[in-house]
Amino acid sequence: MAFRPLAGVVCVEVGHDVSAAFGARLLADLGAEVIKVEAPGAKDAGRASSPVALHGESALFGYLNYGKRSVTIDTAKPAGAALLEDLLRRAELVICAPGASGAMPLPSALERFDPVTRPTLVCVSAHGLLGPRAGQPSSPLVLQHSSGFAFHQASPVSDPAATPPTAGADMEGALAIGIVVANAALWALSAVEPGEPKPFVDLSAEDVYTYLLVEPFADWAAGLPTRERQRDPGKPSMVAGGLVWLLPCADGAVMVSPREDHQWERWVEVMGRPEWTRDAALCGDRTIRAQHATAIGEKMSAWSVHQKAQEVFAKAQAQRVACFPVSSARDMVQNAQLIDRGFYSRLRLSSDLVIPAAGLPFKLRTSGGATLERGGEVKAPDLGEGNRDVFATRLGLDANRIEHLERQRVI
Amino acid sequence: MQAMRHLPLDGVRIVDFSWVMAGPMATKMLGAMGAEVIKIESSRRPEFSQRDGMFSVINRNKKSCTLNITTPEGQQLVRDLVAESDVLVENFSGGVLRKYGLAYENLQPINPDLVFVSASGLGRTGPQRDALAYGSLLQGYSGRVSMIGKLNPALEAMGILPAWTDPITALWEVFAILTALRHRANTGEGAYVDLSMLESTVALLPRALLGAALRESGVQCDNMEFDAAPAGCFRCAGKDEWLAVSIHTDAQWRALCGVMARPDLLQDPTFAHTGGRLQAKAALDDHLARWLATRSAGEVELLLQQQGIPAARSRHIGELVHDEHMKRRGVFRSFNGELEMGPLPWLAGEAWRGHSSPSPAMGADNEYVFGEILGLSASRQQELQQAGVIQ
Repeated sequence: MAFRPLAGVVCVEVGHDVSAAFGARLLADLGAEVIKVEAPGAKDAGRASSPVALHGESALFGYLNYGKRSVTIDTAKPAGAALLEDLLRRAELVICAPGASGAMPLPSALERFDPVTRPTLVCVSAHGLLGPRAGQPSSPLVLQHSSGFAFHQASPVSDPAATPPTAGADMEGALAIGIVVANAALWALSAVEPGEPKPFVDLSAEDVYTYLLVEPFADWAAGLPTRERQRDPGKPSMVAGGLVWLLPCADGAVMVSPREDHQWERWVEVMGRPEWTRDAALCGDRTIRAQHATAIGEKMSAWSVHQKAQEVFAKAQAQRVACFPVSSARDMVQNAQLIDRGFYSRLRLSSDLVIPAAGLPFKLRTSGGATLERGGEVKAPDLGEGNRDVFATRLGLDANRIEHLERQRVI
Repeated sequence: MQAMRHLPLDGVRIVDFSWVMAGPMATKMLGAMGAEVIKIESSRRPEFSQRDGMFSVINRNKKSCTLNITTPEGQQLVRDLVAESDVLVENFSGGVLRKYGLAYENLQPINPDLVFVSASGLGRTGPQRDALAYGSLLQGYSGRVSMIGKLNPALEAMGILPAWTDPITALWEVFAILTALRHRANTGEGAYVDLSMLESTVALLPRALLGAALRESGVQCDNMEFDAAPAGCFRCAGKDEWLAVSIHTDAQWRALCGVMARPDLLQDPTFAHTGGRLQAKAALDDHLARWLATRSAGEVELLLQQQGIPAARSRHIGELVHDEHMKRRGVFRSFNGELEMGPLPWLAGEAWRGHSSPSPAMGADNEYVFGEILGLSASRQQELQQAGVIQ
């Protein structure tokens, strides 16, 4: 039995935006019927996003949109605008991205709807709908800088002049905002009360990036310096209160964090008890090791550079020491743990090629025996594949009316 | 926004065993939605006594009780509390709760519709389920670190600081719990959730993973890592002043050429469209870098924004807390004379950003938990304190 707690919820996604698309897909993973509205003929900008496989098909679009329906509406035409309004009116939830690059404008219908009878709304934009910077042009890269995320990801550094503030990896920023889109939608759906105005979520990507800066905010609140990126040479790399070392290996690198004294003792065993570890002035206890972290790191590196990363990882974990190799994307695709847990779904592309694509990061089984499906086959909707079915079943249009709209190039 | 029920989790009680960052941050958000979060702590463990700055940021909206779960009496009190609760959140090392008879299998018979959320580094199943993990190390294991900056022994600008895996795991944890609670509201059934921090991180790296998967399948694929040109973070005049600029459209490009007073670039047909600019990204970035190197980041930021060009200075938290836009949106707000970070990462209506109450002192709510919820008399509580169970 499949776990589908949002079965029966109809969600309309309007506007090309990665965060909105990912958030809507997460709801589709839970069983919601997500109807993605795209422009007819011309491809949604996302359908061309890299990586693109053979025949120009975007694997990324597949990842962001699997499990959804696609309808095409030319909202510039009055009949198209009316159709969209009808579709929105009948949805339980609308996820829209009014300010996204290349997006449709916020459908004016949403502003005219009665707040009590309209759908629940989640609007995603760069700076939000409220505040002096609302509507300011932006991009995922620029937002990571305006929000402070990039600055603090490159702080402290030894040479600030040569080390620019640094944005996140891949699309993780925009997708993290997508999780917040889904959370806000789940909150909003559960906050609906009969006879009361429906929730309206104003979600700013910039707000989310800043919200994630827990440690910098805590430092600022404690009166610690947060403006200067210049590293204090005497201060070690403490992460969440513990020392972390990056050690080069013969075939890559590992990161290790034997932070407690008992962990350090076992790590010393992994290294074969080298002579220098007996020097109490260098590594006698946790505080002393923190003071000499750089020197200890150099000595450990002299050992690790002759080791294989996977072997260090295995030996350290066998001794209950936190240690992992630094992976590449390819390593993760082949990772035994992720594969064993059924983390990867099988994404089918139009060319019938099937590739692994990450699923939800948790297993779930209910007390009634239903389970969250993981590892199954998934596919993105073809452009406008849902036109006939969605307009017939959701809006009650008959075949003649749908054909007429197609001839008029409204859909 | 008229009267609206903002606290849909009002009446939901969460027993919170989580510590460090991901779990506490998740339960803080659930508390902001109205849940009653009871943090189980122990004065015997030094990590709980560290009420540092981060603790107070991520442990708002909670109550705290102190309990020694290594004792049979402490374990029974947990079972009694679970019987009166809706959700349990934990991130212990594998096997700890089982050792104390507090695993899901032990608690589910006591509370059949319990939502039990077990967060761990690599998940509770699989060949690496027992690996000892910290979020910082999983940032390297996930592949994220190798995609940011250059590996260096000082761990600078390579995606280790500030924490990433922990806060995004918190977002996923909220997602999983809201999902399970919705199912429970629909069906009356509880759930067991096995959340992996590694998977939480990897799920946000699709471009690299899909590109790698296509290549593994023998498919040549275009995997351009950028979709704008020129684009990047550029050094400006002044100490540590940087400006991020990102040109996505032809109109933005024409506007940039205008601001830079570069008719030569504007008239070059090679750069007129996105495809040509992406091909020439390095050269265009160089033009922009040289132009910005002698200019004030603040002045150029304003000029570019006025022309509709995505651009922003790289700002730091000390600047953001005073930013009028962020204040207006409640990202930061005054609470009892101190500035707090808004409890939820979204705004509802015009002003609502979640319920907020200060982080609790350790054991501040012992009387509420053991007296009011569990009905223990004052003398019984005293006995348990003397026996080292409530401590």
